[in-house]
Amino acid sequence: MTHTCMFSTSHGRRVALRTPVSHRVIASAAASLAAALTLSACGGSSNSEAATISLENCGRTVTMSGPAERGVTLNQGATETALSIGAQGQMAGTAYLDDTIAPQWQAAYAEVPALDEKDFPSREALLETKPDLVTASYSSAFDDKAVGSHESFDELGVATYVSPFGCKDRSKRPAVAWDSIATEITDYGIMFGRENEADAVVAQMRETLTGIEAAAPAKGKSIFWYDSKTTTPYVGANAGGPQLIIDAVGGTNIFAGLDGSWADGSWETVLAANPDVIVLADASWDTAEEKKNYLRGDPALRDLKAVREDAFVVLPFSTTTPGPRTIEGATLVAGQLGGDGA
Amino acid sequence: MTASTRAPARAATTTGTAWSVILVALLAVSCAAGVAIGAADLSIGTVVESIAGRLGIGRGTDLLTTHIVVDLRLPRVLAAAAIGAGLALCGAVLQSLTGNQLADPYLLGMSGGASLGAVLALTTGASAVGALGFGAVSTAAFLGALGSLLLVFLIATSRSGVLLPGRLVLAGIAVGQLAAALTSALVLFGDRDAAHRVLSWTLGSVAGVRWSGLVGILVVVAVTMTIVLAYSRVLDSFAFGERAAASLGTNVERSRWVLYAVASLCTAALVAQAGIIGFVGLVVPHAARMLVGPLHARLLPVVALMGALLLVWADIAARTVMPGRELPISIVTAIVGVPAFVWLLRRQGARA
Amino acid sequence: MSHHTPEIRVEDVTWSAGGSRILDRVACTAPAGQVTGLIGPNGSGKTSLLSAIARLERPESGRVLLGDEPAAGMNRREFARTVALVEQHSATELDLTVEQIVELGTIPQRGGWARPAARGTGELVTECLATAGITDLRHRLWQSLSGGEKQKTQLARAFAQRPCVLLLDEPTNHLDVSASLELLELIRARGLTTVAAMHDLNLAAMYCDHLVVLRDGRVVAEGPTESVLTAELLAEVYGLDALVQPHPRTGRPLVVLCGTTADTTERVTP
Repeated sequence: MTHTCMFSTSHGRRVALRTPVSHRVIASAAASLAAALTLSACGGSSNSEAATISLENCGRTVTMSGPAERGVTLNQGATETALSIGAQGQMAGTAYLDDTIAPQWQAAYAEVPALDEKDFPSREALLETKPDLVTASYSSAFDDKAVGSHESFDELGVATYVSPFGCKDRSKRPAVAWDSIATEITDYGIMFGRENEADAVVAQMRETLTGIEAAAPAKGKSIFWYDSKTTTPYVGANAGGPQLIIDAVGGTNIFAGLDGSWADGSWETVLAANPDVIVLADASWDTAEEKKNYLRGDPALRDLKAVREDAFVVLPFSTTTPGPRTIEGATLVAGQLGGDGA
Repeated sequence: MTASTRAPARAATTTGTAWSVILVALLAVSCAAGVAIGAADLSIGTVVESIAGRLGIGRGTDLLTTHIVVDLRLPRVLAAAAIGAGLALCGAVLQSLTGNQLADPYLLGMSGGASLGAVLALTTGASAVGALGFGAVSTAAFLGALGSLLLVFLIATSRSGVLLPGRLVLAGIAVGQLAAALTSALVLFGDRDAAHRVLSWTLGSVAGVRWSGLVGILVVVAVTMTIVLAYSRVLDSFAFGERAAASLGTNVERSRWVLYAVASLCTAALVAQAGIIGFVGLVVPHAARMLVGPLHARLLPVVALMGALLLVWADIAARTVMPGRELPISIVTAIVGVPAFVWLLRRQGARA
Repeated sequence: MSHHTPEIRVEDVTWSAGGSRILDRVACTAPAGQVTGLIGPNGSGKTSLLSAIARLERPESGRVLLGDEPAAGMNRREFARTVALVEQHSATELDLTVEQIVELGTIPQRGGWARPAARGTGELVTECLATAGITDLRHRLWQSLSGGEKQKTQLARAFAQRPCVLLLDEPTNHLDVSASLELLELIRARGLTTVAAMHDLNLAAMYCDHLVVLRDGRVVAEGPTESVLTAELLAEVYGLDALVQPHPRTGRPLVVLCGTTADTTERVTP
């Protein structure tokens, strides 16, 4: 009996105490929320009523009230695409290089703060730059573990864009082709309000391409596209940057039977095909020199025709992915194959 | 408990020899198949001509075809056989030593150390250094395996120099986990391609073995086989545990050291060349025991032969399942190994 | 098969583990050719003493002599051919047949470096199976045996070592009465110097000629069974209230239990 009495009294005491405390909590929560909303409103775009820029990207709609003034590019591909149309003055930051920026854009690159050259920046560091547009080559940039989801940027009024070749939804990815590369460059033109420059880049690309295709320096030649690894070679397959370049120079890919951009091939196939030319991708993690040494040192592979005749073509890895530098890759290959002549 | 009868014990010795003969024959056929099958479409006649040509008999075939048959396929098939035999032997020895039927060659954390070494070489770009037996990656992997082994033995040895088996297994787990964490960190901070290269290596392949590497593998496995066979009765004496082994006159301390060392070094050398190939060391001893019983003089040769067979066919599958491409061999051994293991367990369970 | 079967002399053996004294200056003798029973309450050190004699544990002081020869002086294989041990529990996951297990006992004959199928081994195994009375179990798997059958198998294995001395740790532990009697009869008939740790006092009285009584790692009594097994000893060591009378048929001591001692006897605290 006594226990029940004591229990109800203390219960009542607890209930009585709770009320003033809860009022205080709600009040301060409301204040914080108001502050947060105000702050984010300051950081976001001012006119949220009429969207003047709108384009489709990976099944989402990218809307911006005007051209980007503070764009941040999160991968080398994205950075180089932006720099190729001269957007460095409208950029607030770059990140995540694979190797060095192409020489023609290095001065421009230096003008933009590099948030993190080796990886994606933290979300905090990114937001500190007060971006109005964030672009990347791979959808993994917008993971929660990286800089945060697309939706989280929508809430802040920041536009986000992923290269069509890197869409999370693979069905939305276009086939790797010069047209789809052109589309991406054009998209960047729209987003940075530099359509003319974009059109110029695309036109230049098409003109160079026409020249290469007409010369067809690899016509009648079989090509082995050797990207990396030694035990089992990682090779250019039939549907990515490597194939695009091989087609442009008029050659045939000995691994045309493998689907995808790159794939694990086999040395047996290479020996059986005995290619005329070996293209070597040069990356800091797997240099062309290392690959040459491996081929020359291997008891079986050293007798390949291309190895004995030194029929090697070298190009930087970043010119082998679809983007504004792919045409450079094709040019390099064409040049090393004898360019204008057969 | 139901009485379970088996064939008369005397007949089992004959059965042991009979099985060995059968398995050797099967292995010879399988190796031949391995050399005849591959990404390049070569007829059996061509294959035979190539080999004959290299041996100086007949005209042989053109240079590159000969290279495919004699310098790519032959060493890798033989390597698969030797590595399969070696891993299976090490697994059998470790199972007998620890009295634990779920032991495998990687019990002592070596796979972690080897991976760490290989990843260091792969992510610092020192990977494609020639094909003369041990490239940078193989050496680094071997050193990593040795390093983790030393660490494990250090942890597991008491102050008086006695090897404590219980601590050995736990130390193996701990060191393996540490190595795995460091490996992951290296991959994470590596370049874009790092994860792919590391995964490729870790999942194992005999595709990179040429004649120079093969010789090393054959020597290692032959030495291991000799030592382990010589210790057959010692391993038998462990049937009822270490006290029983001691009371049968076995020098338990020394035997433990020797056998652990041999099994570890053999595994380390094999992993260095071919990456981490799983399930062979775990499943093959069980299957062999089912065929010829647990006494080691009879068991070990059968274990080696069955391991060799398994890996030769796993390699053939790895090369042919997806035309033009190569699967890492661990994927095949896992796909085959897991159901086989489950089946074995159920058969054993049914008799209990 | 007539080996000289020596007496076992344990001289002042002390052994500690985990900070406590397991055996404290133990001195006793197992007479040649006789069965010596090692009795005492649980934890008195019976298994440890057997382990010390079997060289499975190294005492920190004292020594064990087999006849005149120090046990520690023999090499391992020689010792394994001299002393055979049957433990309380033998367990294996392997699918070994009885025959294979008995053959394990021949390992000390030729060591770990030779193949098992030597001439003469088969005959020895057959003989040991027969002696242990398990010839019909020859091809049975260990896992399918009953407790008694397992003990007999381990005994046959011990016989296959052709030992001069037999050590047994609670050999009748999981056996029913008739199996126990069979086993102990086998052991006595063998005629080797035997030391057997026993928990059943009447079985010890029936089959042991000599008794060593342990408590808290010390020998509290030793001697022929008749003189050691007294009601006073039982009360002092086991806390039992019992009568010890001559067995009506055999004349050997027969322990008749009445209960436990109600009053606390003066005991030496450990």
